[in-house]
Amino acid sequence: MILRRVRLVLLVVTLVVLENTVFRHLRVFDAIPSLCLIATIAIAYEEGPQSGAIFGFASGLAIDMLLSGTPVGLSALSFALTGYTLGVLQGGLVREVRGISPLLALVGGLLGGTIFLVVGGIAGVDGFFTLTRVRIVIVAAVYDAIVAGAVFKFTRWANHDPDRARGW
Amino acid sequence: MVVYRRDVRHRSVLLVIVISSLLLITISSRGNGMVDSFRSSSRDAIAPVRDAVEKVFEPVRNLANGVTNYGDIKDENVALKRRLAKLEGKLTRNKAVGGKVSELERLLDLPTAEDATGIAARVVATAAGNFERTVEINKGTSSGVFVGQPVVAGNGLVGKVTTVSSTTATVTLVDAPALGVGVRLANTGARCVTEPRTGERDVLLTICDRGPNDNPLQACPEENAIPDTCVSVGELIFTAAVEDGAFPPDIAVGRVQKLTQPTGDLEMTIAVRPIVDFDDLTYVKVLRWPEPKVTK
Repeated sequence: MILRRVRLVLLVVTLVVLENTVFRHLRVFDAIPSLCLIATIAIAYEEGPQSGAIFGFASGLAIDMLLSGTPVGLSALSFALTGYTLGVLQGGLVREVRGISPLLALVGGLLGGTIFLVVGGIAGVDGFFTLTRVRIVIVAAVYDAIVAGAVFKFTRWANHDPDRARGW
Repeated sequence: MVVYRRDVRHRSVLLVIVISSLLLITISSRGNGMVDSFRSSSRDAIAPVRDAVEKVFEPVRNLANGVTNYGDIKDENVALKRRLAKLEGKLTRNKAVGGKVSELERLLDLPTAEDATGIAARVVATAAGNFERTVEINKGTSSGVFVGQPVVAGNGLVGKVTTVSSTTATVTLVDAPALGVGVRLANTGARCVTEPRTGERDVLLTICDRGPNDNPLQACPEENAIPDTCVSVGELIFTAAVEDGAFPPDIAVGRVQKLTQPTGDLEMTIAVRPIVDFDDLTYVKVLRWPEPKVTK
């Protein structure tokens, strides 16, 4: 149990560092993938809504700490809500679907990005209600879908604990 | 019954998370010292790891850039050679005028960019996330960098320091929506304020002075133009001299990229392309501006 939590913390740290170093230079139409959001979606898919929301809040907060133009809590809120929603949707699936990760990442990316823009705009962050931002959200969601396979595998490895029931 | 209880618990957890997030957003939006210092500490903590990863990744990045941009680099080289020859000629002509300007500035006791000493810094990271126009530099409060200081590169204005930790600082770029700069057009001398647009590299000029004879600024016709009475594409834009201004005067900001006259509008739209290539920044200088005054 403790080992799993340590692995999950290391997962968040690694994804935050990767997002802030390697992927910064791999922008496509000004967008980079949100690795922590994909990990949140993976946790929500594996563990359900509550775990998805908690992991999303923690990983979003880690991302917020490294941003400067947006208020702290904005990524945490959007990741947590995305994790919860996808966890609820996962509950409606009759059986596990192989190769679903890109689709989940695409839907989660669009949802998370939209929540981020809407709440950010309401909170008064400059220029959040623009078409360019919407375009970035869409491109980032597609990018999320492309890298989802690798992040899902990494997250599954970090979350794996055979002696444990589902949920936190 | 068990399912019902579990659902209620899930919702309670979500409610706590949502309320905590909204509280954090509210506190952070209003500017809170503790939140800011947490952010600074986080950046300081991640800086060594990020630097190490950046160093490992740099050769790969350079190789990728070299391969993908080979054609562009070749064309750019030819264009730069042509431009250098042109500028050498212009420099010779400007030298004659420059002496007079410096003399007048000295007489008027106006501070200039040359008066400001600077702190050289290296750009260690570009914007985090998808919605910021910032770069991070490797100097912070321990090197004398403070919020509000202007940042320049070799050829022009980069932006302003907006957050700072002990070892790093975040510079908001000139094309970030939150930053407006008082500028003047090189030929007419008309003053304007830059108005960056989200996601666009070109910034617009707004609240411009009127042109000669109190007429709105006009685009120069292609022929027979008297450049000091109209605006032309390619014209340079400099920071304007403003009392207690955030930026020293006469730092190049950009070049006029496009002039459009919207129908039914008296004033034309002036789009300016920043002179500094923000995608290719390596070293910058943080200006100590306003220069600390010596008290006797």
